[in-house]
Amino acid sequence: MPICPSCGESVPANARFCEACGTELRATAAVVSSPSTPTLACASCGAPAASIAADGYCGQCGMKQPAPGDHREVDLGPVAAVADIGLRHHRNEDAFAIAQVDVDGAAVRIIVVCDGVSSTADADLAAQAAANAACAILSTAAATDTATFEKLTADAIAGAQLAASAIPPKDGVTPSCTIVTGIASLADSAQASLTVGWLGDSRAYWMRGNELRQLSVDDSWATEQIAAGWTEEDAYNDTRAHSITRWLGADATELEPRIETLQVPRPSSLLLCSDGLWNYAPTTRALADRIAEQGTPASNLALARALTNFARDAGGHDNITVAIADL
Amino acid sequence: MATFTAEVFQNEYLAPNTDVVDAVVTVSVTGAPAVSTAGAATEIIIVDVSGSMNEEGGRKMAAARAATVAAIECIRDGVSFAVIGGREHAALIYPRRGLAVASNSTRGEARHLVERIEADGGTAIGTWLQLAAELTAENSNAISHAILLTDGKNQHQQPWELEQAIAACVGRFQCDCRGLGADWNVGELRKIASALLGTVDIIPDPDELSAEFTALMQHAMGKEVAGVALRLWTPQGSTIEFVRQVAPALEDLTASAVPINPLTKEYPLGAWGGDDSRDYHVRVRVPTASVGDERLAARVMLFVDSAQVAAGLVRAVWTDDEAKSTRINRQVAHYTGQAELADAIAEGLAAREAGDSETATVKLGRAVQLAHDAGNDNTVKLLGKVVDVDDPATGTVRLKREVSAIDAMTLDVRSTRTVRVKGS
Repeated sequence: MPICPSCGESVPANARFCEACGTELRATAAVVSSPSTPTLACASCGAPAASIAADGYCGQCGMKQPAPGDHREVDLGPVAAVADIGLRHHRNEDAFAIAQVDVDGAAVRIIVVCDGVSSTADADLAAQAAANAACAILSTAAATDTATFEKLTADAIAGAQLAASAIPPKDGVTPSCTIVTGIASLADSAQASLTVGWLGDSRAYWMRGNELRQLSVDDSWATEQIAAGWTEEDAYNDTRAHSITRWLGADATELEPRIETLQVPRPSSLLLCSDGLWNYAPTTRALADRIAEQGTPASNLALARALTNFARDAGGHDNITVAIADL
Repeated sequence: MATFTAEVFQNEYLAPNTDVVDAVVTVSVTGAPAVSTAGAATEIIIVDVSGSMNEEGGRKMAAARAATVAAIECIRDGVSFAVIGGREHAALIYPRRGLAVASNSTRGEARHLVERIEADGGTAIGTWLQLAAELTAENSNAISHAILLTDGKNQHQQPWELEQAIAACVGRFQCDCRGLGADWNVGELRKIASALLGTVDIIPDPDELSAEFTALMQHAMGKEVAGVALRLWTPQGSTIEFVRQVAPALEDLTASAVPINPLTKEYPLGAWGGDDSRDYHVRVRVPTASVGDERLAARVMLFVDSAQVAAGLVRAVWTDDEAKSTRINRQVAHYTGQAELADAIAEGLAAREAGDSETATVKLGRAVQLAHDAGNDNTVKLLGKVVDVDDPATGTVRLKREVSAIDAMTLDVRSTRTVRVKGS
């Protein structure tokens, strides 16, 4: 029996709504993809999967293979994402889910990125559950219904909150995570209809050529202080700078997501990322420069990988997620 | 059933762009059966019966006869054995040909013949080894072991002839070598013992010979597990810089490697006793990787009769955290010091021999310091017979004016004996 993507309850195969939470369960042609970890060749030297020993070392070059989840990639072509453990964390608590829905020949592209709060137990599970739930709800969109994108985004983040809250606390600590979602309809050949929503400090950017625009505003201590009149420098140099003021999870109190809708010219791109990337390029200018340095990557996956590597090379102090959709 | 364990001691953290990985591997066996299948063992006693054994009023030959008899008494029923008399040629003393199987009657016959050995002739140790190799070939599946006693140098043979004979014996049998008195050559016996996975020592006084032979044979009878080997897998592009046994004594195994496949080499370790424990220092150079990456630098596997019985991992993790990468593992540091100690003694004695007292003083002083630091009390004591120690902590020493040949040789031959890390 299928389950409700929002709350996880079992639902009849042809149900239109979940009886438990009321989520609309419309059948779609969605390609929803959360990362899995297939048996792969050596990530370092390319030796065949058969030469990887049970303890995770390559039998040719000896490199320790990434643990399941340490490095995840999903490539749907026009939508691609990479989540990487970075260099200092012991676990990859970032998560993403991406999807592409074709409705009457028009594409709807969806990205969700969640960043597990590393001071909380099982934050990785909460992040992945939240990303999956939000992506599943957004995938019920119909391309022509762009007017409903804001409502859908609010539903998706509410569904993500339910999913994240369902992960039980461990050692008395409640798991929590950030979320940023993006959904775009490409029904119009000249411009895309784009809605982003977020809680926390994972970011959404729109880009076209060398132009980059930050669409989200961090729910963070630093941002709030800047809004209250602090200088950017003072705010970001404070040890509390990166404390997030909103999040998902059973202990979350501020659950009203911020949602922005815009019409953007095509072709262009939507980029969502966790702070593991933008910490090394905090200003729009800096990130635009980093992206420009990558030249013209062959694909969204290539650009996501390149930006992930940039963050690793810059220190990799946090998990890094980069997800990109063509608009 | 014997249980083998392998434990790896290392600091796995490397600074960026460094590529040398050191590890000490402790291999231990416990619970080997008290009595092995008797037929699966061969013991050869090789006794020097050259003319020089008649010196000291026949004391040396008398001691050699008594010691050989004592050793024969230790051979368990069912074990194949033989006694070889060594001159410029080798001859079987017992049995008349081939191997005997130990029993009350064969041990009695052997004793009878050994007690009647007369010494005369020269010394060609290579021929003795050759005969031992031929004999052990008759029982090739067995744990084969020999005790070799000589009181002189390999005078009646070219060095290359000895080398060739040693090479032909490698893998056939293990050989513990003993030199009686001060007229034999430490280098020669060490070469034999090293190649044939045995020990070498000096017997300064003929009166000590019987006890030594008894101990050697009892120890050999306690060897229960044959065909033990260390295998090292190392990644593509790496080099094994060295593989050394570092306890109970230093023994460089690097050159004894037998390739198993392009990435795996095997180092034969011979037969092991019921409660044996040995340490190995492995140094591997591996291709560097990025900070945060982990590479397996070596998979250390212990094999008995081609079956893996224990394994350990030597890892390399690159970090830019200097607090981690600059730490030196205690075991690695200790055995690096023990190897330096052996080198310092060898170089110090060589300089002393060559009349270069300045170098000898520096090297032997350093040796005193290293032995003192490591708690290697026996070596400190032996060094004390060659130098007067003013301050062991700083290695301040003066060369003794008069040093007996026996004392210098004893220091030389025992310089490779190590101690384990204090308190572990």
